[in-house]
Amino acid sequence: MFDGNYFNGRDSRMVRVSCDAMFDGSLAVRGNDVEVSIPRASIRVTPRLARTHRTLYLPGGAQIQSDNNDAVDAAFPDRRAGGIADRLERHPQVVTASVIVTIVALVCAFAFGLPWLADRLAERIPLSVEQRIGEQTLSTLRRVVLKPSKLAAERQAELKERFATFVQNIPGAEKYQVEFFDAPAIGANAFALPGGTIVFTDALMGMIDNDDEFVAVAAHEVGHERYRHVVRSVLRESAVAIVAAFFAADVSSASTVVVAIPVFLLRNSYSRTFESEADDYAFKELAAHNISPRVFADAMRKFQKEYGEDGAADAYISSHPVTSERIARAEAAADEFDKAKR
Amino acid sequence: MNSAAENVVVDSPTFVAPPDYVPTAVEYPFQFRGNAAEYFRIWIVNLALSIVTLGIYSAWAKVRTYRYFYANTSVADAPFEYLARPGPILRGRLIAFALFSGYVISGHFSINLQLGLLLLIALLTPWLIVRGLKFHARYSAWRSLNFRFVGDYAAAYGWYLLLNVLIPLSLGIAYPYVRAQQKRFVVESHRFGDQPFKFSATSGSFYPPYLIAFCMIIGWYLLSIAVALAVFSSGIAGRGAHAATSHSAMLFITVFLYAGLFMVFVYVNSRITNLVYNHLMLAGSSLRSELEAGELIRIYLVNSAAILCTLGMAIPWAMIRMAQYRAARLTLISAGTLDSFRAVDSADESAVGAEVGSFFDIDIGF
Repeated sequence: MFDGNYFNGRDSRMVRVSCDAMFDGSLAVRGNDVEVSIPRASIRVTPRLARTHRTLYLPGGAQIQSDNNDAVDAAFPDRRAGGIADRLERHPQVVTASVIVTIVALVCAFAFGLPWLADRLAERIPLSVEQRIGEQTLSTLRRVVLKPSKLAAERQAELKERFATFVQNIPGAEKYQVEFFDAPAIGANAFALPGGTIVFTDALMGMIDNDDEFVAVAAHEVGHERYRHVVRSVLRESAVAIVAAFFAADVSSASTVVVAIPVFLLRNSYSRTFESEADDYAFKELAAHNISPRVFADAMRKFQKEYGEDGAADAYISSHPVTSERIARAEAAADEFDKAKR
Repeated sequence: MNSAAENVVVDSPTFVAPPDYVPTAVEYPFQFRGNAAEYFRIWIVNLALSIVTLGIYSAWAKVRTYRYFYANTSVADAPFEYLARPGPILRGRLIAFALFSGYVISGHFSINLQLGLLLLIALLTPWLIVRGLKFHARYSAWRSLNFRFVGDYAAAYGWYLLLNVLIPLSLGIAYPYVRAQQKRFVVESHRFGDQPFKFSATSGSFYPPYLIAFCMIIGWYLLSIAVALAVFSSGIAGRGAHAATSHSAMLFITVFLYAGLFMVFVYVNSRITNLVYNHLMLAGSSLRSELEAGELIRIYLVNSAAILCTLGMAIPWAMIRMAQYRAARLTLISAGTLDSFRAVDSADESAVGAEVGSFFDIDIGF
């Protein structure tokens, strides 16, 4: 037995009634001015939802609303099937599992979905736009940290010539070029600007003993260029920022992407995957030019000695975590190279 | 004057009127009974099932969410009811998804195709608004009677497409007028049972809130520029490697600017909501809405902080809090009886809602 409010289906009058499930399969409804008996099989009952009321739709348009969920379920035992969602919601394990599913989905979206989307976006940026971004970035950096190189003009021309020879057979060689700058604020550093320009600092050139080591570092930077690591990294980081901004209802951060590139380059913080990708590219290209990847290991050791495993802030080495691991990989590539030559 | 008149009445007892001589208005406060712990379970299961089914379940989720919030909101001892079925909602979402992906994909092939599609969507907007209002009204009920939206498409095109042209032509001065006319169209096209809604607000009364908001936006922009100048002129001394510092300063100013604009938005929204509800009549009944912008902003701030700190898990709690506040600030005032609303004849109903159950009986959008 349960109480409820009866509506006749014709007007908004509300009548308090009590309902009885009878043995003959009917529902007896009694109240002020109301006295009906309806076959329960002809009544539609809304599915259960937390503690909210249930509505019983009687044939002919009348209806009864009742808060007594358990009694309604008892009167209509065959209608329980409609309440699957309700039973899931009341099950503590289902609720816990739902929390886990949601968090895992959210983490996956951040860890895989956003980088994937950022890469698709990067693919759509034409080379001309990327080159313009690169020029803008370079002019910003020249204002702020890069001063004219103290290297002799002939030495610069020689190194540029060496670089041009190295990249001449690489697809898209015409867009790759090297520039030299004196930059006391950022120490020994080399970075690849969007669009193909690779910047070397005087301090880095001072640490290098021979041109092969210069080529080895350049090959690594060409690897960053080849896979468009700068634009992809900045877009990936921005994607996280954009989604975070979306949740904070502030989408304006999206416009800070271009501003972020100089900052990104100065921080020099590629992901480990991107570093390995550029390293592998360098090993392969060095081998193709008959230079042992061991020179890359040699160059890395010098940085390591100068800056230690962690590296100083803003230095070339700091962008390359776990330097020993990378040296080991370069040595392995060198052994492979030696074996192939023999 | 008034007290003197009362004294006369007191002096001669035979003139004392019975207390119910003037029909007294009865006030029925809206009540919201939902609670966060209960709704959290519904919300998280909805979310997980929607993720697992790649969004298909979201239509069922919407029905459960709406049913929960409607059924927990009551006035004059009777709860509201949400009656929509998931099927039409799913169909509407699939159409919206198709339109959106069509728009995105067409951009890969031709910019003209994309612009054409954008124009098509713009032309469809009034039709979509009417569809949405019809759907929403038809599946909302109280005391067993449905609401209805009887506005026709031609009128919607007039109010939403033609009238909008006035806004740029008048350099924005017509904006409050246009908004007032659109609100009037929406309110007066609604029916509850057999009774129409009436709207007594004048277009003029829409001007003060929008004017104040306009001034606040200008003021806030100027303030933001001043703050930006102050921050950058103090930071310009330390140049060079401080690029990162200027980046975070930019972020701070952007957040500052948008936080202010959001507050203006909340202010306008609460003022207009109050204005519309307070000038709405339904067969001798009216509403009193007393939303306060300051209180709303406080709730939004606490809600946002809670949602950020819990990685979104406080969303149900935030939704319940907002529903509680909105219900607490709404009162139904009835001078007569609430029992005399009548259902519309079924013949009339089928003529009005010819589209019920057809393909276009949909709720488009997300």
